[in-house]
Amino acid sequence: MNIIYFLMPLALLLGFSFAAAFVVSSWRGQFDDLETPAHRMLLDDENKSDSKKGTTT
Amino acid sequence: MDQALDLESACEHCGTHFIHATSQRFCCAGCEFVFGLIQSEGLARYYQIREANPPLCPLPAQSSSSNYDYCDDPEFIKKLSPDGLKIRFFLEGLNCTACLWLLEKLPDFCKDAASARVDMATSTIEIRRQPQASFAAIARTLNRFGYRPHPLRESEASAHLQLRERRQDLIRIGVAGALTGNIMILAVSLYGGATGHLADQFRWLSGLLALPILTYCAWPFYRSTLASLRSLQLNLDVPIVIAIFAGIATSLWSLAYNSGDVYFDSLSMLVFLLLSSRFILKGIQARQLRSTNLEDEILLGTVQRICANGKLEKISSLAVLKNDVIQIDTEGFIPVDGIVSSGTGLISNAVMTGESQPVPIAAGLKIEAGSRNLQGKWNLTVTHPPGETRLAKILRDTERSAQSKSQFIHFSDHISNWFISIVLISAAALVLFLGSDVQEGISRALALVIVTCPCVFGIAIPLSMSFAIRAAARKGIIVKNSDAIERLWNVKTLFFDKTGTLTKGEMSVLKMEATDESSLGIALALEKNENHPVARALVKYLQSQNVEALAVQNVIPFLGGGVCGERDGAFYCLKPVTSQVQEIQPSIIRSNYGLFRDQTLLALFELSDEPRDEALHLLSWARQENYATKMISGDRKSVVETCGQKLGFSADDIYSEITPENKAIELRNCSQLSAMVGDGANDAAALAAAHVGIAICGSLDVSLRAADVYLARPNLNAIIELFGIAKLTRSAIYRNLFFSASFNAVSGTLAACGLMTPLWAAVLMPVSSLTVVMSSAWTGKKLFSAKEG
Repeated sequence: MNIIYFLMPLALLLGFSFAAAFVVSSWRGQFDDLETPAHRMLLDDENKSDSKKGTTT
Repeated sequence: MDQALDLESACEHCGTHFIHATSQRFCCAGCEFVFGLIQSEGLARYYQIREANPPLCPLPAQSSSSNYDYCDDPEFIKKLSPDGLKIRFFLEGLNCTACLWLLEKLPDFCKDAASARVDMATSTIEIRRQPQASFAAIARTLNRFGYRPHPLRESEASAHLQLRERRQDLIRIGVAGALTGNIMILAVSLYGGATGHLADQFRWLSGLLALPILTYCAWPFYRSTLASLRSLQLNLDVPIVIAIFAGIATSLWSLAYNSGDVYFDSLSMLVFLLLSSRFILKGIQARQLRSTNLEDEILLGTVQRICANGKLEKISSLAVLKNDVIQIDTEGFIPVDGIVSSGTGLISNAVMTGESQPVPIAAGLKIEAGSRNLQGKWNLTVTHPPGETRLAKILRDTERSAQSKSQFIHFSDHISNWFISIVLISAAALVLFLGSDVQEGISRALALVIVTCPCVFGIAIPLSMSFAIRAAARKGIIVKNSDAIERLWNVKTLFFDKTGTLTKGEMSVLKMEATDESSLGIALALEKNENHPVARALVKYLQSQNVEALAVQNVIPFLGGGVCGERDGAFYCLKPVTSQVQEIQPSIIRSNYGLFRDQTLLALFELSDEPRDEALHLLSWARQENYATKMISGDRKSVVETCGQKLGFSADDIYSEITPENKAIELRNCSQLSAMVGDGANDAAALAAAHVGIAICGSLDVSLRAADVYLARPNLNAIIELFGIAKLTRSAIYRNLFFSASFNAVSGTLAACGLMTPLWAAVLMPVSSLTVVMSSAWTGKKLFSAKEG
């Protein structure tokens, strides 16, 4: 059962790191606009293929 | 399709189906132009993306002829953009993925733009320009593609604050969610029957994990409770905070004495779910009530500014600054206060003063926003730009009073107060009743306090009301407060004024018979200073006949549209006379006015006033909906009856020759609750006496003193829409009340009987409050998406 004294802090650490990642990304504005990215991902990224038109695969 | 040649096809640009004689690919020149533009810029993929991501977005093709030179005005840029490089535009016509693609390609085909970022939730685009590039050129490009841009004058500070708050909220939810998840893992083993050393450690650990939730995350509840206690008004957060504190106290006691239950899991869950449901509520409010205010709904448009070099430019009325000179040459509302600098024309001040007689333009004349230009071409020096005008102030006051609480909301506040008190008392009673078993008593009391929620009163009803008022404003109906919406529910009888309400209110003289020239001069002198449709029509007609007014003393108007005065010792009176002329055209309602010296008729004027085009439609709707319709007028019996018959009133429902004072008495005597539709100034007494007063003409501020509703556009169909909005709002509120009552009764009983643990209560309560909010929002969405009238 002693393994639990290792696993518990590990689980909490994991949980906290995700929470921290969420806090940081919130502060950086990742969740400010929740609508547009859903549309934006439907579009192929053409910024690179613009120069060499027609090479999209 | 009666001609064989007619073909129907979809426009290649906008997708509108249209009928054409020869084979055409586009429905209009605008679409053809934008199509060509998109092709020539190498953006043809736009059409592929659009096809691939239905629903097809109806793209606006007609680019307006607006000039955006003002976007380069340094003053203007300074106002909108702190660094001078970035402006947000609100775009009309931004709806779909293809629009997004096209707009974010902007830097590729518009060399002035450095970057463009679309926010579809708010229909805005944020554009960063190249150094020294022109915002005007960018705006023109957007406009050429059919997206009409409006620069946003959102203050950077408030936008920043909102963003900060949103991020704070999200972080609170995130932290609460993560910690609650971990606490639940620990709680599962405790519920599973863990005992001994490990169980104690788990309890302590869950308490430790709950600490940030119960302090940082729950802070908004503490703050609002503190405010509520200061104002001695119990709000929704009070029982929540009491439950949290009671839960913490019991749990700490259990920890300290190493016996009994801990409630950290339930409390964390409660805080997490409540924060989430409040976040969703805020989102709904922001989405449907964003940015627009009443003033913008009515007056937003373009004006022509005269530049320093004497050239004209078309700018958004939002961009007008103090001391700008604008030229007015089209018919429409004037969005600013100002002083006429030159030019001639005619304006109507009806919205501001209630005076519907046009006023001629002269240099130095003060013009108020909300006046309507009728004709002419003149220049105006701006003294108060939009947002600072008197009209804006009136509308803001109206908006503020609209937010003030209606009787129903007061009543529901009252209930909500009682509700909270009863719940708290019964929770205390529960603990005492189960005195021997303190643990069980506290557990049940906690569950009871948490699960019962008067959120339908505190959140759902005010939300429904604010949706209703906004939806009405969008249609040009200004509702003074939510009280008026409630009162509309009970209206059974509709009273209509005749002149100016059911009829156009523009009298004109059809025929004149006079014994001599001097009697006309006396008639003009009598009516010259009167403000009555008949008087105005007479004065206008007589002046057009080059009649000179003669000196008349002691001019006294009397109610019912008559005036009398004295000249050379003789007593003259201009008043309605009984009809002697045969009705030739029944569609025209005639009034005859005669000038009398003592009892002899000197001159006879025949006037007419036609019913509004939409009057019959309104009345047939009202009758279909089982409203009693009555017409009440100060006009003569024969005139009112002719008009009434034409509009389908039965003889009993026509009240004629009623003075304004008696109209109010008549309305008070009506056995059913009634709405009065009439002129805001002349019928003020009747409007105030009615259960709901609806003013259709007259000035805004005077009308709103007496009436509850003001129709900014004199169109009777707005009344149908108003009743529709009120009805939808009522069904939303009743639905929510029913749901909330059943939910609280069932869950409260279960909790009191010990059949519901505090954890279940913590899950169910936010779910129920979210349900009523969603139900209100669903109705709100229906209100806003209803067809524009």
